[in-house]
Amino acid sequence: MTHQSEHKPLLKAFLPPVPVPQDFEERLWLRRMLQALPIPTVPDHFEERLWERLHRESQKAFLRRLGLLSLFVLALGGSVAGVWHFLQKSREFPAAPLRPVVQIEPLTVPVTPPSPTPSLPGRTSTAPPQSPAAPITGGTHPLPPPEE
Amino acid sequence: MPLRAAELKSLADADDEQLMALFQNENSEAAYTVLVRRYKSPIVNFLYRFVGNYDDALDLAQETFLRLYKYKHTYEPTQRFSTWLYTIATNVARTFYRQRRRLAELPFSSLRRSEEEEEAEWEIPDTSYLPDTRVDSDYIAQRIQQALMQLPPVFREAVILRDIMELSYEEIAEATQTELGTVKSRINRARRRLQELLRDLYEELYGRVPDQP
Repeated sequence: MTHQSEHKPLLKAFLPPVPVPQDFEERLWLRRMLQALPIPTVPDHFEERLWERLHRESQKAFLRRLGLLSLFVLALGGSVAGVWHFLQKSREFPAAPLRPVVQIEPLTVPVTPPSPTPSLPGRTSTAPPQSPAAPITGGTHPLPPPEE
Repeated sequence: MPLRAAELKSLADADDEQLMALFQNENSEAAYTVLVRRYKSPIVNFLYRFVGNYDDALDLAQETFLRLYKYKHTYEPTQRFSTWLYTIATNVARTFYRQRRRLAELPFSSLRRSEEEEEAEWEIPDTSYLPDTRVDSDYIAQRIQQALMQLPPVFREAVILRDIMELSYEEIAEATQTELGTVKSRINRARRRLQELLRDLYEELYGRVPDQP
């Protein structure tokens, strides 16, 4: 203990006092004043209003979800209708190859041209054109005389 | 749906984090109500000191608690609840302030300003409702509020959170999402500015402050 007390004045002599700023008290006053500022009162209806707003927000969120859901359903319906329409179309398209195939048999007998049907007066002939494949072998009617 | 008083009473002793866990996991409206009752006064106080208007402060406090309800899933149980709530309140206040400034801004001054420039910008305090004017002895409080409103918002929020709401520097850094060093610097500069703004009041009360050496 005596050892310590002997050193005390020496330490004090070596360590100069720390200066206190001139405005120390002013700063302290300011901080005291800030801490002492009155706390504004919260009205009684604060919680009531808060619950009202929460309720409104949740309703809004529900309506927003409902709107999104209906849009989704609408889009889904549209897509389903589109796909159905496409399938219908594609079902119609491959029907063509299912038509009965016409078998062409090789000609074994000479084809005689059909006798001309007498045309009715006032009506044009509706006879189908002769097939170029069928050889003309003449007929019962003589050919017209060559023009000069 | 009215909450049962017994349910609220049973939760009165639970700490904030326990209440938040109940609210998060069991969607307990009683836990939410207890948290609102516990924090409505400090949050209104913080917001009032920040925006300087009582009605706006009430509206923003409601917005803060609405966000607490809506974003409860974002709360991490490792966080301190009060700090997290002040983060929400700070963001709400900043958004409000930005919107108000955008409305007041002239088209040619729409360039982003630096903190230094923001410091130079003083705003006219809104004294439409000051509860401090109720009695004469609150004249000092009114002067302090007016001085607070003249601080740039970033300095104002820092000094309010430290000297009025008594949050630690670390909590302020977390709540304002700012570096610790920046928080300290903002608080110091805000205090210095407040000192300058309130010097005449101090001298009126305690006499002339000796000149700085």
